[in-house]
Amino acid sequence: MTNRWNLPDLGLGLGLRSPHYDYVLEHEPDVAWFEIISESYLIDGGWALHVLDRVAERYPIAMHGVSMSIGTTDPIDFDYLEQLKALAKRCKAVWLGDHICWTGVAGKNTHDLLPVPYTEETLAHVVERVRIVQDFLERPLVLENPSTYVEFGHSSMSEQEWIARLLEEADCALLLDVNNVFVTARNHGLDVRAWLDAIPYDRVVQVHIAGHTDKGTHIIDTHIGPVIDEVWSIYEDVMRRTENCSTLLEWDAEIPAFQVVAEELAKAEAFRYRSSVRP
Amino acid sequence: MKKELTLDRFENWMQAVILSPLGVKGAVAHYADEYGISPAEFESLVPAGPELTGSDRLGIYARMIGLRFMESMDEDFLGVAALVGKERFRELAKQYLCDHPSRAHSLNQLGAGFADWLASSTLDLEHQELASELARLERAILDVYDGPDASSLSVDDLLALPRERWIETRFAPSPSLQLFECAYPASAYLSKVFAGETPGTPEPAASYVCVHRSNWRVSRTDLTREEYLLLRALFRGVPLASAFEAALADDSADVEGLMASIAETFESWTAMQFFRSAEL
Repeated sequence: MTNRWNLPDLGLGLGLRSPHYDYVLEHEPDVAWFEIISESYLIDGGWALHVLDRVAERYPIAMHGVSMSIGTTDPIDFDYLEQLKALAKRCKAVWLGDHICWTGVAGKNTHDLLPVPYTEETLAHVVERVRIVQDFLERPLVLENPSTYVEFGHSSMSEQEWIARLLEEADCALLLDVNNVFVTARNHGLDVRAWLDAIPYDRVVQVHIAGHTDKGTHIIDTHIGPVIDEVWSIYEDVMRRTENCSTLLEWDAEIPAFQVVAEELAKAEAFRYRSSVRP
Repeated sequence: MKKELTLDRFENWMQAVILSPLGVKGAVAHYADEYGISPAEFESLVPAGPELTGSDRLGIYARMIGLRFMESMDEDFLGVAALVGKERFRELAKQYLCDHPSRAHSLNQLGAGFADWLASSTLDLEHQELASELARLERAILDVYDGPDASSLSVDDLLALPRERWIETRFAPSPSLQLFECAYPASAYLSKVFAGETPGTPEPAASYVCVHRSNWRVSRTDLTREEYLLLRALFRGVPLASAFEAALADDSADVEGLMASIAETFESWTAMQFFRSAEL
C-alpha cells in the first residue's frame, strides 16, 4: 500500500543523536535514513548543524519536532514555523512532523507531550491549525500519536477515532508510534488491535519503534533499551497493514554505542511484510 | 449555570496543576476557584485508570516535567551546583523555574536567564556574586557552542597586514565569541569542577576570560585586564590604536606587559579564531 502522498518507504532508520555524531561521520554506517529532533537544530551554527549538513549529504533526513504544540489554544507561532521551513530546506527533509499534543499554553512550554481531550471542540480546533500549518509549510504534517498517562472524563470519543478523523479532516499524515500504542493501551486498559483497526493506513508514512520503562502500575515512554516482544508483534501487524513503511528506532536515554542501537534496529527486518503473492 | 469547560480553560488549568510546586492534589485545591474546577469535579474530569487514581495519572506528567527540567539545569550548571551544594542548587533551580517558566522551543534555553536571576534576586545565598558569574560562564559555553558560524582570519592573513598600518586596523570578532570580566576567578573554578575536583570557594580576585570556539570546540582563554580592555574596545569597532588607548588609559595599566609580546598575542588569538576579519 502506498500512502496518499507517495512518500517513499525509506526502510530502517535511526535518530541522529549527539553521542553518535563522531561515529556516523567517520563510519557512514549502513543505515537507510536518519530522523532529527527539529528543535535541536534550530540554532545559529556550531558542531551540531555542521554534522547535520554532512549527514544530509549522505542520508535522507526526516524532521520530527517536539514543540509545535498543535493542540494548544495559543496562537500559531509563525516565526517558529519559518525556522522549521528553513531547516527543512537546509537538510532537504523528506518530511516534517511533530506530535498530536499540546506542550504549553499562555506562552509557556512544559517540554512535555500533553494529550488533548478527545472532543469535537478539540478536533475542530486541531484540524484548523493543522491545515494552516500545512499551508504555510507547503507539505503534509506527519503527526505522531503520543504515549498518554491520563484520560479525560469529557472526551466524547476514543483516541483512535479522534486521530482517524483528524487525519481525514485535516488531510495530514500519521507517524504511527507502535510503542506509544502499546504504552497507551496498557496504561488505560485498551485493546491494541481495536486501536489499530481504526487507523486509515494510506495516511501512515512512518513508524516509530522504541523501548519503554515498565513501572508496574503503568508504563513510561522513556525510549530506553530494546524493543519488547509485544511491541515487535504490533510492529509486524502494522507492517502487514501498510505493506511496509519507513521505520525509525528511538533510543534517547542511556544511549549506548551506535552499533548496539543499529543491531536493535536490524531486528526490525524480520518483522517487515513479505508479500505471499509471488510473481 | 456551570461554566462550559472550554479547551482554553482546560489547558490553562492543566498546565497550572502540573507545573505547580504544590503537587497535583494541592494544586487542584489551590486552583479550584480560579479555573472553576473543584476537587470533586476533578475526579470525573481526570478519572482513575486500571491501576492509578486521577491524581496519580496527572502526577506522572508533573513528575516527568520536573525531572526533565532538573536534569537540564544539572547538566548546564555543574559549577553553580558545586559552589552552593546539590540540594541548595536544586532549590534555587526550582525557584528560578517558577519565576521563569520556559517559553522557548528548545529545552537548551531553559537556563538562559539563570545568571541574571541569580545576580538580581534577593536570595539568601552565600557567594551570590560568584554563583552568578559561574552561571554566566556556563551559559556562555552553551551559547558559544551553538553560536553563528563565520570564516575566520588566518594567521597568514594577519601576517600579511602591513606592519606600519596595524594601528589603523579594525578587527571584527568571531560572531560566537564572548568576553567576561569577573570579580572572582570563576573560569579557574569551573576548570577544577570540570576536571572532577572539589574546589574550595575562592577569594574575590578580578579575572578576565574569553569564551570562544575554534574548530567547533569551545574553549576559555584567560586574559589580563589590559588584554580584556583591548579586545573589548576592538570589538566595539574602533581601530587598534584607539583600542590600545582604551586598554592603557588607566594609570595602573601594565603597558610593558601588554606591549612586550603583542605580536605573539595577536598571532595566538588569531590562531584560536578570535577574529572574523581585519580591515584597514
